[in-house]
Amino acid sequence: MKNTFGLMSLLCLTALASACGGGGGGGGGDGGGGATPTPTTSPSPSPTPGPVTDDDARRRVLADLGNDVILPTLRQLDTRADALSAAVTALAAAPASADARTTAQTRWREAMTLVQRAEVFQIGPGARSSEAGGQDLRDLMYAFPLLSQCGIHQAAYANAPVTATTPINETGMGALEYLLFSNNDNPACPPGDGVDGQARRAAHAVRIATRVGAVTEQLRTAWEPTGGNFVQTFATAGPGNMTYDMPQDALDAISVGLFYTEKETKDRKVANAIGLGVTGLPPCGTVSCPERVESPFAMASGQHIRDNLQAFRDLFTGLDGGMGLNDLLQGIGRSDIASKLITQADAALAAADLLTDRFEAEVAAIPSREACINASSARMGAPAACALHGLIDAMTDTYRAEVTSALNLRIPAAAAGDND
Amino acid sequence: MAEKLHRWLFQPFDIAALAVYRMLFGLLMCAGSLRFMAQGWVDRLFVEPTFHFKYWGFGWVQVPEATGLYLLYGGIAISALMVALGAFYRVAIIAFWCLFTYAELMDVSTYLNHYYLVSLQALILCFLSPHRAWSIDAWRRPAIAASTLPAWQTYWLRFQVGLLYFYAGLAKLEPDWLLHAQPLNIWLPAHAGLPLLGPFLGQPWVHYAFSWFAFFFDTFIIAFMLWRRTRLLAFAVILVFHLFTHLFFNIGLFPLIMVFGVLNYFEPDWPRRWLPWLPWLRGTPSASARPAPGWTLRSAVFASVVAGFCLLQFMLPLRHWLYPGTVLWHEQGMRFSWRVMLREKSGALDYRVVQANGDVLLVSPHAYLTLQQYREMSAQPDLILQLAHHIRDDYNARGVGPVQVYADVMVSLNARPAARLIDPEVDLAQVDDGLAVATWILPAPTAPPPLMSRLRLTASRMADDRPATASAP
Repeated sequence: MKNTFGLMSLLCLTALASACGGGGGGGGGDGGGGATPTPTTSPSPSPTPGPVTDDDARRRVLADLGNDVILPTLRQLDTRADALSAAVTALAAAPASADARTTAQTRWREAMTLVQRAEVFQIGPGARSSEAGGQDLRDLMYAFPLLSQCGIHQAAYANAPVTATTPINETGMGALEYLLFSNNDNPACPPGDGVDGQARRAAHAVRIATRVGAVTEQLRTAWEPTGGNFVQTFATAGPGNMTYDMPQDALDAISVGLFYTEKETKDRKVANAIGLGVTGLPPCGTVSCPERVESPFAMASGQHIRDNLQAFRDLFTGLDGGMGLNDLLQGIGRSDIASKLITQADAALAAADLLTDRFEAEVAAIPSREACINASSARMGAPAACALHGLIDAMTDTYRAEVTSALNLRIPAAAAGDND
Repeated sequence: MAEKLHRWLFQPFDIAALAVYRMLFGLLMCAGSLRFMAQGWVDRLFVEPTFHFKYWGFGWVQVPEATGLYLLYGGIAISALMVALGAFYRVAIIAFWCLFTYAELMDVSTYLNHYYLVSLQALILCFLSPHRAWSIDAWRRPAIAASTLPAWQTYWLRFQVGLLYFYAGLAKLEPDWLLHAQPLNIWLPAHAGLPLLGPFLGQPWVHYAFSWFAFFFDTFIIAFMLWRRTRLLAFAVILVFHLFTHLFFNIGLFPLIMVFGVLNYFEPDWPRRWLPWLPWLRGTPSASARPAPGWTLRSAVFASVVAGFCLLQFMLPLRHWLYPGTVLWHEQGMRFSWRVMLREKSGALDYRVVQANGDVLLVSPHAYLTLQQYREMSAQPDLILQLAHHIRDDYNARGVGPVQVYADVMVSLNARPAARLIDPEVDLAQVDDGLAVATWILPAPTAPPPLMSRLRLTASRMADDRPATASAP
């Protein structure tokens, strides 16, 4: 019995030991890692900080992404939303002024660049309420692909207020695009009965811009250290954190955000428009589907796609010398995947650069499905919009199949069910 | 020999263990069903999807509307509670098995090994009589009350649980698990924040230690449970093991299901000995249990059926040997074979649909599936084939057919570089779903999986020692 007891004790101890480890392993370790650099006895006046490991490393990446990528974007967005609101107010004061309209349109484009970055940053307060920390703010800011032209039209003529309960397809940056870039009343919508449409539309744009400004401020404030301080929540994910039990959970939130470029950018914005993609919409009946581009009034679809891709890359690599997911890959010895994805993202960006102001025209000029599928498969050549699709596809495939595996990151899915 | 076997199978065992197991099983299943509904999983897994993956041979299983689904899961919860209480037990356990199994057959993408185990255990319980003590049935009909049950009832449950452990261990006898510590090398580092254990979970040697320990544990733990002298300590190891699996993985009820199942390896009177303070567990079983008669035609036929069932269960996990290549890649023979938590697989998939007029469309799985379904199916060839057939039928019905359907799918297995899973030149619209060797699945990558090192940010990247939070503008 004693021998058996000893045998089983050994078994138990092995179980515990293999879980608890013995410390000091892993080669050149720092004793388990810590945010504070390991003290050194070196007489050097400026000692090199020690390596940061495990969850401390993940938190450093989270802190950098929060501080260098997400929060600056939201600050800029808030500032530009204010500028947009001011420009639209000026337009409302002089609805017939071409200069005022041009200025308002320029401010819209400037703000929209940041909105498109924020699309990929649907993390924490910017995420849906089903996600950790989510506040459902995204749709209030930009509800693409939902847009009710007639709803906007009617609200404008009714001087309807724009509040938190306004249908999301009648407010946000999409509605503003319609009001600022479409100068005429929509013939498909009920007539304005001789009312000064231009003035009503500009006045309604003010209400929407004000509302967008309020939402962007709410989102920025939620992240600000002086506000909701989500940037700190993000950087301190782990035990005691009310939103993220583990740093991995916060990284998962980033991962889910990055998938925007797959489902929305690649499938909805590019594949649908070039006529190749099928995502549940009925076929458009022509070779390509120019009517499905994201920005039919401002003709900024290409710029939006580029902004999404840039946001993807920035979140992956970090900005301003800060760290990103690529550093995590390098930190586990998978620089190969990091380099591959960055190369693919740069190729997609380079292709998008060429289409920022002519994506719509490229889509309309696609001569045949065969030409498009060939360019998409080759990831180069003409039609350029189709080649762009192939390049984004390569990038998102690498992210979905390889990056998520190596870093054990979450793939979007309703958190339903268990595993085994 | 036959008589000896008969005596061994029919020797009277105290009913206590099986009666308690019945209660635990019923309560756990009841709680599990309520949890399933409360978490909104009925909606997400069955109401939201517009397409459901079918098990081969079970295409007739239909997914009810939302009301029907909640009635189904409500029925599972109620019947499970009745099993626990021992109220109309035989009807309740048969109803539970039918309803639960039907629910599990509704969509392959929701397959879990532990759901399959529950279904098998429920099927076995249909033939057992653990309701003859400490049940409403025994209180209501004293004539059925018994203090012992024939030993085969315990043996059968033991067999099923033991088989799972054994095959779960055998499945780990492969290079990725033992030589490359995958996928634990991928999964464990995320838990570096756990108290005490956490700092070690990022270290590859720990991943190796866990991998080898899990292999030995699964393969041999039942042997230690069968040996009376090691049983208690083996059970302690089981508790520790399943506590860890609960901490590390989102595996729901699985640890409890296994722990409850393992209790049947103890002496059949363990509840009376371990829980003497419970008044209804006091006492000893009646010594007046009638000795079972020898083999009868009925008992011989029944024993043969049970033996056949056990043989089938023993053979089923081995069927993957009929298919060339690694089962982790082609997945032929993967399900129903206790290959539990054995691989990390991520896939990126698009279909190419070639219409009769030559036009090509890229069809995203998003067009037909929920995110959850896409995540599950994108690396499983038979499910990719099923959706291809659905797409074929959909497009043919639109009058643009006959269409050809091709799959472009890149899959990473255990963090290897992504490779093509399916031959992109094969028209899946023409491929039959079945049990034959799937020649349209490409061979697995031959390179071993990479071993990720402990996450360590280099000094050069940390040199700027940036502040932890941003300053206000």
